Amino acid sequence: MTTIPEACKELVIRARAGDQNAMALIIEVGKAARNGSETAKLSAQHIEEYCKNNPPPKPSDKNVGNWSERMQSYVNELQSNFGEEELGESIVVLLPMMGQYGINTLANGIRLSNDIIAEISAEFGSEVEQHAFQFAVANADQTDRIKKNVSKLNKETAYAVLVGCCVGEARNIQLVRLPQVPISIISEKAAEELDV
Amino acid sequence: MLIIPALIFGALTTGSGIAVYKRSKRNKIVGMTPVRQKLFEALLWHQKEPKKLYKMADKFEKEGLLEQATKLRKLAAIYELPAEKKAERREIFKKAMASTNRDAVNNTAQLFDDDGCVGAAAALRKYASGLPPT
Repeated sequence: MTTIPEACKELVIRARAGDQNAMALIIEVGKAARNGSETAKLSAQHIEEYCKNNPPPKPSDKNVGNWSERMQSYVNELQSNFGEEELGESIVVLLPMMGQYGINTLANGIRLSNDIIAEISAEFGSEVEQHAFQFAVANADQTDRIKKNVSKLNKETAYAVLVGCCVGEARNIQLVRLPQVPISIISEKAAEELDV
Repeated sequence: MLIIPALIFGALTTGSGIAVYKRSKRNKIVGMTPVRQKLFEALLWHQKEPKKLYKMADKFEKEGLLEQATKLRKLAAIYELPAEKKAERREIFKKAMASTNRDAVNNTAQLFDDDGCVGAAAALRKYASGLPPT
């Protein structure tokens, strides 16, 4: 059974990852606590404590996260789910917070087959989000262009695109290691210099 | 009657012309300016013709920008490499992209950079930035 502190921790992680339901729940807890609900007060206290003790990772230049104990814990959590049923969920929650560390953990961890991609895709609630995710995976060689236009989408779809870009980049790293695959799938400029 | 004012006018305009020329020579821009930096980066990342790169390298050298000139020449030489040499470098790049050793990947990126392969170096550095410290 999930305890209150565990539930609060999960809520914060989900909210930081962009889950609007989690954000709304935290707001409701705050409102209820201010209105005098004892349970809500306890939850709010746990949420506040967790946020204080675990500040969100600071995004540095080019969305590359800073290596820290927290990042190590995210990497460990992601790695522990390789081959497990929870892989899709942990990818959706953790990957956008991890920047390049998440991409590399995935690229160096598990073969991103079409089945795995489909599993991750199924984690998204609506068909629109699933399509957005799949589009981003398939066009990860144009991540910069896609990210520029992401602000035009609603939050949920934009989040799906963001996860798709990370998964797609990880898959492209795996592919570029194969001898017959052109380098252009990860960098046009590098391909001009090295591809025959 | 009109000769004297014409002579004075002529002397004044010639004098000011010389002064402008001397000032422009004295204020001649040397070294790297923001505009030159932009031009250099555009050449480095977008120019693919070795001939044009060599030509611009000469111009940069004339302005005293030797480091930039060398980089442009190295890049031009990369584009002219024979297929076998390119294949060798390609293999090294692919091996580095499969490594999980941050320092090793960064060192390989530096080697590519020294060689003029700025794109390959940038791609490797991006990958290295997501590897845990060794």
